[in-house]
Amino acid sequence: MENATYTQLQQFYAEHMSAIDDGEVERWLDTFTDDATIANNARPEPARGRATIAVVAHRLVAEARAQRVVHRHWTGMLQAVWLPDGSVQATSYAMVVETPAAGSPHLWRSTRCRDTLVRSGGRWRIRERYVRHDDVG
Amino acid sequence: MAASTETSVGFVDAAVHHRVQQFYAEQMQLLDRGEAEPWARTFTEDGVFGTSVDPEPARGRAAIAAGAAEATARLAADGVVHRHWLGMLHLRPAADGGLHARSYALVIRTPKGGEPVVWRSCVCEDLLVPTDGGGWLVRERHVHRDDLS
Repeated sequence: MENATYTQLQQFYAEHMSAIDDGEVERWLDTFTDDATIANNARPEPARGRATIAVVAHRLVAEARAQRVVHRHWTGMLQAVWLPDGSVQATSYAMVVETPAAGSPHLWRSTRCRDTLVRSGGRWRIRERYVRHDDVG
Repeated sequence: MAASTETSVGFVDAAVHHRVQQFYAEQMQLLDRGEAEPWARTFTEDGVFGTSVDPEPARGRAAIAAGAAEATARLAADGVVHRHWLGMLHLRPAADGGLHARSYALVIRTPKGGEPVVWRSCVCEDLLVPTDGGGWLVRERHVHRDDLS
């Protein structure tokens, strides 16, 4: 993939992850298409559509606040290819660093994240996401 | 591909993004090597450096260099090495050709003869200004520590 798009994707992920880490659910949802799906290897049945994804996102943000921890999603090792229909398949590793209030940070999760992204409404958006959690067999 | 040639609103182009990544690599390596004066010169003369811990930010290169020298001495006394890893860089254009740069930072701390730990997790917010030579300087930095947020 050419530099310009690859760099856009890196910046997309930085913005996308900081939105959820900062608890800004609406800004995070805006990085998905309306009909987006998210699945993972712990719950293979995907959440379908922004409204369903919103419920899960609000719950995760509320849980982190209740436990007084901050999560930082770091993505890297990004591999991205154009698909014939003009969408992009992006596979990256993601680790989550968890920091408790007044405590020390530690590695909380390690995952692989496979997204299909499309240009829509003037920006990149995720249409399909599959997360493989390394701790789930 | 159509998507690769269209103007991408909100994205800083690849060449600038790469330069800024290199700027941070250089800047953090100066700090981790304890080169306080060269580190301070990566800020503007009137640069401001604030953190969650200090009620008053350091203002100007002399104060920024003094802070770095103090931190370096403390690490040497404790027999530990720090490595600042920056990532998840997000750039937005600012006024007068500047950039708002937001990144995550991890500090990896390794004691002599011991194992590294993740010592700090932070968010770093910078206002970068361009130099005549095509490089960048930090005019304003605020570091937010996740353990104090």
